[in-house]
Order: sequence, then structure tokens, then C-alpha cells
Amino acid sequence: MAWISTISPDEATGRLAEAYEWQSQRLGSPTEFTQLGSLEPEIVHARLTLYKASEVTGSALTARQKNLAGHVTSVVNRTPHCASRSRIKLRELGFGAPLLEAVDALDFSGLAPEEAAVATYAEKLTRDPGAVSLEDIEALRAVGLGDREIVDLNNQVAHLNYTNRVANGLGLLDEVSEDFPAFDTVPA
Amino acid sequence: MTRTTDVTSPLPADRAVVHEGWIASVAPEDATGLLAEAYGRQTEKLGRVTELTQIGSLYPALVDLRLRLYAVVDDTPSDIPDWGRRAVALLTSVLNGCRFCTVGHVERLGEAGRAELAQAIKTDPLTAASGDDTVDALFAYVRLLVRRPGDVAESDIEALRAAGWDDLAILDVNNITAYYSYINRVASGLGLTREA
Repeated sequence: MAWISTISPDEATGRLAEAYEWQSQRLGSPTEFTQLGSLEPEIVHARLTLYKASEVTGSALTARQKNLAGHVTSVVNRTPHCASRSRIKLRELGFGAPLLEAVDALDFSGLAPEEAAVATYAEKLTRDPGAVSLEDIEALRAVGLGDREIVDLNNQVAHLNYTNRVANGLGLLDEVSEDFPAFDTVPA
Repeated sequence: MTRTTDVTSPLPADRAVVHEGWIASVAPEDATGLLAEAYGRQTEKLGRVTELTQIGSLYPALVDLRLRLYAVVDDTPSDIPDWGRRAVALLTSVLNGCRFCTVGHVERLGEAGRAELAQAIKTDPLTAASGDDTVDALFAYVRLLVRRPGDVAESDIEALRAAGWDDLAILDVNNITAYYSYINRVASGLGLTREA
């Protein structure tokens, strides 16, 4: 339960109800995360449209790479809610339990080189953004990422650094259940 | 709201070249369509398109929607005074080590008549105080949320309430801090590392 008041779906009207509906079309209701911003409906609108754009950029970054980057971000930031959602996604994308446990411990040695490079960038950008250097970008290029993929990766990690702080900073700390449809949170 | 943004159509590569930063971007004179429209909104407001806006321009939808989120962040109708909101943005950027963003926020806080506070935050972000207890309570929350988001507890929200802030103000300070934690990483992570 959040630490500030929110507006539930059955109480929402106008712009807020409209934004809630985008997510309800696939999920049946807006997520708890979406409701966190509901005291200012424009925040909900802007977050959901940016979220959708962030998820469907169309770059050649694979779903595994992209969701791995997001997961590492949430692990470094110690955001249980977001990490529980990305853990479900990674499982569905073929990450076995031992590999996922290693990633949760920020051990990337069992990952393919491309995925290890993505995870390493995600950890550094999250932990110490001011220390990121051209060498870190070159390391991504060395495993085959182009500029579009790097922009996509950067946005994914940076955006999760936003959402992690919304969740942790306003009290959304619970993990989602194992059967949560984590890929269905992108608004219709 | 009509959502006309095409979020699946990145810009053709032949119009993107490296201008500043470590990756290709699209200059204002080369922008078309949604990107030109987004650039135009910023030009109308600032007289130019910032390097920060251009850095994501391989994806016009990201540029467009980041700017729309920025407008919402900047316009949330809470009781936090304008100078306090600017100070929160600056404090976040300094704590994140984002020199590029820091310069602009120092200027903005200076324009709000708090140049001395701006220098204090830039020099010592962990202890700088505003002289206003209510805003200093915001600073304490910001420092924790930026540096150790996993340690924020309900008692930190209660401290904000004890300082007089209502839920909309708490949503606002959270959103400003989270937003700049996003944007600082766009800048630092793609090569805007000099002082703007």
C-alpha cells in the first residue's frame, strides 16, 4: 500500500480515467505503479505514453538484452516491486533459475558477451552515472551494438532509474505474484 | 487525449550524424516530422534546441515524450515554491554527478534569486541548507532517494508531512527527483559530460 493517497480506478474521472483505460484494456485494471501518480492525472498520462515509447522503440536490442538491462537497474536500486516484474519477464525469455540468481547477485559471468556488456553498462549507469565514459560505449560497440541500440539501452536504464524511485520513494515495495502478466503492462 | 505519436518508427539513419556526445543525433536543421515538431516546441520556449534534447533524436518519439513529461514535471501544481523545485532539480543533478545538467539548474536557481544556495548545493550537496526548514526537509528526502533509493521508508514520508507538506507536494518532490535521475543518466550515459 502506497504511502500517499491515490485515486482508485472506480473513482477516476476525465483524464485520469482515460489514462487508466489504456492499461485496463490489457490488464483489466491500471497497475499499482500507475495509480501512484494519480493525484496529478497529467503525470499519469505523460508516464504511460513515455513508457509505451520506451518499450517499443524497434531497435535491434533483443528482448532479453532490454529486459536484462531493466532488471539489473532495479536490482542495483533495490526496488523489489520492479525487480519482481522484470524477473518474471526474464524467466519467460528463457533465463533459468541459476542464471537469474547470478544476475540478481550482479554476477554476469554466466551471460553471453552481448548480454554481459549490456548488464555491465546498466549497472554502471545506475550506480555511478557521472563515471560513465566513452570506453563504456566502445565496449557496447565491441559486442555489436549500434547507435540505435545504445540509445535504446540508455533510455531503458535511465527510465528504470525514474520508475524505481517512484516506486521506492512512495511506498510501492511489494513484489507482484508469480503469475502477474508482466508483459501486458504496456498500455494498449 | 489523442495519441498520434508513432512510437515504432525511428528516424532514417542517413539524417543522423555525430554532433556532440558519443552517438549520432539529428541537428535541428535536419529534423522532420515529429522530431521537427518537438524541436519546434523547445525552440519556441527556449529559443534553441538543447544538446540534451538532441541526444535522443534517433528516436523522435522519445524526444517528443520526454519533453512532454518535462512540461508536466515543471508544471505540477503543488505548494512547493518555484525556487524549492529548482533547488530539488539541482540537488538531484549534483548528487548524480551530472555536470552538464548542473550548469543549467544553477542558472535557473540563480534566476529565482537563490544564487548563493545554488553555489552551496553545487559545492556541498550533502549538507547544503536553504534556511527554510520546510525545503530542507525536501532536501533530506532527495538525498536519500537519489543515493539509496532502496532505503527510503515510510518514516521519510512522515518527516515530509511533519514539515508541512501534503500528498501532492510529496508526489511532486518524488517526481522531480525521479525525473532528473532519469535525465541525468541520459546526459551522462550518452556523452554529454562537459559543463553545458
